[in-house]
Amino acid sequence: MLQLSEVTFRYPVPNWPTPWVKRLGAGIHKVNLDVHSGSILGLIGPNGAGKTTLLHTIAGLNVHDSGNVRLSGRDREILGWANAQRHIGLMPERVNWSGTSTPREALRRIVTMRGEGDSPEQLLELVGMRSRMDTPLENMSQGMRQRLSLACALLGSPDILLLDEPMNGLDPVAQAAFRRLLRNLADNGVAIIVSSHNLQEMELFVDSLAILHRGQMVSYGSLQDVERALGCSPSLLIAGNGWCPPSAGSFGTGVTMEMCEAWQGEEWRFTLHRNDGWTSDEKHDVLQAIEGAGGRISLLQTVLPSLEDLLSAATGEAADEIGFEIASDSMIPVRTWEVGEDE
Amino acid sequence: MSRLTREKRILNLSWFEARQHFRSPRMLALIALLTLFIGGGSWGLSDPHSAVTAQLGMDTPYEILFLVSLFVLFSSTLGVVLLGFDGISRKRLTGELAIELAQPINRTDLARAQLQGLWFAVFTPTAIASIIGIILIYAQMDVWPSVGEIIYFMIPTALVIYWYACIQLLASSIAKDLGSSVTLGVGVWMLFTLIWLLVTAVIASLMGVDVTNLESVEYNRFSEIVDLFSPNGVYQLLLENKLSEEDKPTMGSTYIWGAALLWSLIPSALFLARFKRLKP
Repeated sequence: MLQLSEVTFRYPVPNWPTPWVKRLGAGIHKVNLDVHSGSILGLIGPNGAGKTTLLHTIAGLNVHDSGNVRLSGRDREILGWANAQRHIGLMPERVNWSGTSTPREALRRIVTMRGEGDSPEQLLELVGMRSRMDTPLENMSQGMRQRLSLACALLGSPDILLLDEPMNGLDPVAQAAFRRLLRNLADNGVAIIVSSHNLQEMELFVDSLAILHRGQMVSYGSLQDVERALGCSPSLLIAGNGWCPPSAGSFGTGVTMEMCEAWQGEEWRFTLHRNDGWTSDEKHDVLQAIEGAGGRISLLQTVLPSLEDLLSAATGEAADEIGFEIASDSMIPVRTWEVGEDE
Repeated sequence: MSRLTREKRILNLSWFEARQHFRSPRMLALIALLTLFIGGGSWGLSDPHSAVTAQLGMDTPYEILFLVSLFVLFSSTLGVVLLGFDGISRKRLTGELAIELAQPINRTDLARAQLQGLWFAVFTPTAIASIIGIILIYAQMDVWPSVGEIIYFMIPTALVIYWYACIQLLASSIAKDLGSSVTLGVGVWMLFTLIWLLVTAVIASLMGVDVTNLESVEYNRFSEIVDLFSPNGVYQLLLENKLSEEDKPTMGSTYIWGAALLWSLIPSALFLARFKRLKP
């Protein structure tokens, strides 16, 4: 449905004191993606990684410097710029709708821009704004504004939906409804790309994951593939009372164990880690091993690696260096080798 | 898409834009400004007992309209600044611009809709205030200006509002935040409305023209040329062109209308080109 090959876009930065001589700033560098119809791709990365730039480049707001963007097997240039935009719906990050007009009018205006016959009312109903159709935009909460932005993105039933941090401002109930809506859309053949910096949130509904860091794709595939490739499989967090396993050897080979501080009512708490992650049978074996020896388990939880862990594994940088760093406007390539290759 | 459908779509979008301006609280401020300046100016200047220091006749309704044009220049152009200074920058800051630019519509069409919407939102109350002004002139002088004079007054008024709309939206598209929007918008307005006389005098003195006597023929000729580079100046020259022979500008109509044409083309072309390259 959507293929990106070696797509590069860099923002021009004025070069003081000679502003007419532009130098290249931050952007995205040689990004490859293949998103199939009916799938949901999660795009994650820290602030300034290039997630929004990538989405804007796909949506046609940025003209890429090099590479190819193909929609349904056809180059965007051949398909025509405006025609390509007809296939794509974009929900930008935190649109702060303002003014005295209403969601119904705002949507009607976008419908007029598209020159299509969509019903704004139906779309507003779909995103749960039936009772707020005529509320002035300036009086709406951020959650309502997010819903209106989603309604705009859904106009014209696009084949590709690009959502930039869509969960911002939504309460947990609305988030769950939002995830259901996205799954329904994907089941109806829409290819969806969702950006976020929250891996735990993504894990709930995406089919595949792309990690972006300093404008480059550092890993791409299903969540399990990405974790496996980066050696960051989920760990098991176990807590309880009674018998405590003395070492990781109690659970077979290739397992590492790390003791943690026990919480109130617990005698022990530790994490178990394996490079290949944990299947349900293996989790069951761990449970049996502890309970068979007289231990009582009060908590058994799968803990996903954090975004910092993944980025750290992908880039080879220390997690604390990645944590607060934002890519500078002169983009520095983080790596040129592929995951799994030798450096 | 046929040309007609495209134009209809642009008109529809312009109407959306204008309606948003009509309902904004800033429009209230604009209406108050226009009523006070154009209405009050028309009433005061057409009063048979009033006198102005300028050596201009105030005997015919058109001559009064010409003097009222000074108030139009001040209030309507300020109105364009009020409504348009953040026309693009606000949408950029709120994120609405990204949604608009992601739609399958030609960017030129989108820019034209924005421009026409702003122009319509300011020209409509200005035209209404001018008509009220004409009625007030009739009430004072008991003579109507001819239909031709009214139309001739309205055309340059519509043009000067259009020029300012282009300039404001261009400035707003350059500004990245609200502060620079205000600075650019008000700065351009102040340059042409308040500081231009000073600019003219400075250039004249640099070029060896005697600036000690602002009524001299030499200085007047020079200031007419410099005025061609200001939208306000061209507006005044266009209106002066219909005054009696002794009050007419010394330069030919071709130059004035030529400047009006260039002022209509260059800022709008710059704005459209800028909008095409705009990033959210």
